[in-house]
Amino acid sequence: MAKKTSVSLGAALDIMNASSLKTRLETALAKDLPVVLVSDKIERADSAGLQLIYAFIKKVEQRGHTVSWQKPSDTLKQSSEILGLSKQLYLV
Amino acid sequence: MEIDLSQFHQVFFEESFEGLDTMEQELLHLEAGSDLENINTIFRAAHSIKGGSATFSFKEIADFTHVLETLLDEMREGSRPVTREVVDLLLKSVDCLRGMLTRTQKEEDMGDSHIELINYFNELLSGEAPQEKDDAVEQEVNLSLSEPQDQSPWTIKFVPESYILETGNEPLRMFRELKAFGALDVKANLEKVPDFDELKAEECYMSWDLSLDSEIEIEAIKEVFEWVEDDCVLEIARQEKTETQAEQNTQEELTAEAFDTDSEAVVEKTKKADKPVKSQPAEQDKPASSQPQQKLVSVKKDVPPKTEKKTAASASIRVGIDKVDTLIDLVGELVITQSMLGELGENFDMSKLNQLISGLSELEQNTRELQESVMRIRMLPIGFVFNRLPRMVRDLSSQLGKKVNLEIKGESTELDKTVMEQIGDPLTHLVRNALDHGIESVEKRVEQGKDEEGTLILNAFHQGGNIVIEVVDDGGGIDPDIIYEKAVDKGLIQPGTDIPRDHILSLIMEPGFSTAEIVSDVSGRGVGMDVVKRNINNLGGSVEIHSELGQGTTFTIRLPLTLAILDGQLIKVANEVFVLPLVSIIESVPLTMAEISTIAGDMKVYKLHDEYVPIIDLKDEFEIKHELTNVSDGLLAIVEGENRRIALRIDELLGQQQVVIKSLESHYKSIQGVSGATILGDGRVSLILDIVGLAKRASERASRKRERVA
Repeated sequence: MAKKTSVSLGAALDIMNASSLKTRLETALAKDLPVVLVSDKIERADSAGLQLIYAFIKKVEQRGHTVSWQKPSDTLKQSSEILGLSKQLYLV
Repeated sequence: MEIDLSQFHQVFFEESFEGLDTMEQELLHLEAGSDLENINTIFRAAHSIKGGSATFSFKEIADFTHVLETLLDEMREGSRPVTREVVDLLLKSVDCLRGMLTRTQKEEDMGDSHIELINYFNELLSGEAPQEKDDAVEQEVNLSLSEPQDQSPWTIKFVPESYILETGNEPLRMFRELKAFGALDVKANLEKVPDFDELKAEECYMSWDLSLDSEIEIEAIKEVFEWVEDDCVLEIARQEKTETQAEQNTQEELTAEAFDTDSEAVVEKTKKADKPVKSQPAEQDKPASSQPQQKLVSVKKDVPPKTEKKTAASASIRVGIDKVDTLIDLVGELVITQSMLGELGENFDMSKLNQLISGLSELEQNTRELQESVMRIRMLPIGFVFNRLPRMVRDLSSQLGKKVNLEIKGESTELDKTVMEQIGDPLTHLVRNALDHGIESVEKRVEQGKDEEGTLILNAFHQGGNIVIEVVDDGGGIDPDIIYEKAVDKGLIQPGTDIPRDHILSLIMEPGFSTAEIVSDVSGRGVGMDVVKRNINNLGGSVEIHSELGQGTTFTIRLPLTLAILDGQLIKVANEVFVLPLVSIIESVPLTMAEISTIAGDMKVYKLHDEYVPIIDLKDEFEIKHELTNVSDGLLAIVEGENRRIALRIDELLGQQQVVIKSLESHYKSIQGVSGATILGDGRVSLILDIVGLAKRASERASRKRERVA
């Protein structure tokens, strides 16, 4: 089985946590592996959080890897949809 | 047996609206200092609304108040602290409930505007309330204000400034609100999102194109973006389907001036046509300074539900039981007098003449008292109007960053319900103006050695046959020199005209003076003042301004106590009898003693002390046929209206009496110079003269005459 790295997004994918999450995502990026975003606990997501994830996905893809979601929560899906980001975030 | 509950709906609505007013007042008190009794009162009001709505199967209202009650219960038990945020939220709930009740009363669809607020309550109760939902709630409350329209979808282009997320304004929330209006299609533009390494997590690089299929009005959409108006490029337009719509879709800049015009709607309630809106961001480095401007606009949002409420509730009036008891007593006395007179009439002889005379005077007394008591039924304490102002002052002063202490005096002063309903908006406007332009900022006040907290006094009292309402602020005052210059610039007066100081100030209420430009130049007192004056004049009242530079400004409104009855002076002109409002009469002089001069051709003027007053001959004015009389016969009645004096030439002064005003407009048509009609004791119809209209009518007639001569 191919190696992957996981990043847990916690309960709040929002502007309050965006900076710290970016640091964790940078760590994951440095591993140069496909990434799994663990998102079952997300109770809150906002523009800053989803924008960060979008930029992250693009970056990972640039490096030839994929990003996948693990159990994306309803809140996450709904927030992405309202912001018109479902497609770009592969949450359709 | 089944009872038709709908017969009790009106009472339920009235009581609920009163309950909401109580809740609002108590919430404002609550903020000043937490008191268990305040919370209990709020709880009781909410509980009554919940009980009533459940009885009448208004499920949404019952559900909403249930959640509200749970929160209040926690506050009552002390498990939830009373914070400003909670009070804010509860105040918004009051607004939301008001909207829900109004819609239920009008049997309109409830919509789902309250759902987010309920969800928020639930989250709050479960201890998971996100911060910025507070704003969401406010916007949500206002969804109710929209009117349906049959139109094509809205297209909205939203390009926020990069700092928008840091100011707590979340596009997600705005879009969610838009979604509540109808089907929303969102397209995110992500081209500007930088590489992950360069991305600053708090900045917004995205922009959006939205399509909203809803019959909502543009104002409702604008309100969603209200808080970010200066922090984004916003274009709103209907998708062009037909040629007509395409013609309408011209771009309009939504500037600060437009906001001022909007806020004027508080008084004028003009409905703007739907137009696409383009909003440009203000300078990026000053979002904070633009806040008051944005927030000022938010105040107007409270108005529509209240206005609706007023209209809906005007069908009935609640009267104190003491007033009804007095009426019953008086009617009882009237019946006794009538039976006494009846008995007297059956066996009348001249020996009973004195008895008859005293019986008739008793009848007159009874009738007068009955009339006064009936009129008193329509009288309500002005507190009903004043009570809606503390909330506005609280919201507006905190938004403007000013400290204001509102003092309300004479709130138990009574006035006619009709007058009161119509004075609410002008009064609100004056208070808003006083806060906005009158009272200075804390820094400025401290600089000028004033107390940092400004004082705004609302006072009401009876004076003669009038109610006087004063709006007093201790702000910067109005500079008459600047007003004079502006009036000259605007062509309202000729340069060099000598005008008394108070008259100069009253120029700000002239229609041509009210422009946004002047407001910013002279620091206010311009927007909508003409509308305020017009509304008050329409009620038969007047406004005076007194201002001391640096000391403050006082607006004095004088209104008749009632619009239904007038203290009148009957006058005779040829064979006709007219009624003059007694309050308008200054004096009367016999023509033989009057100093009359003729100017400008055949214009006659009377010298009253140091001023010349134009004479209007009512026979000529109303083209009354008459036999030629001696020029020196008759009288001059000097009358005043809106600071304008005229002398009316009449034949005779008859008695004074209270007359019941009947509208001439609804029975015949409106006539300039005549404010209404009444029926005299002998059954004849008599016209009630309107002094201001008469003066205008005469001057128009004179100028027409001059034109003909020329």
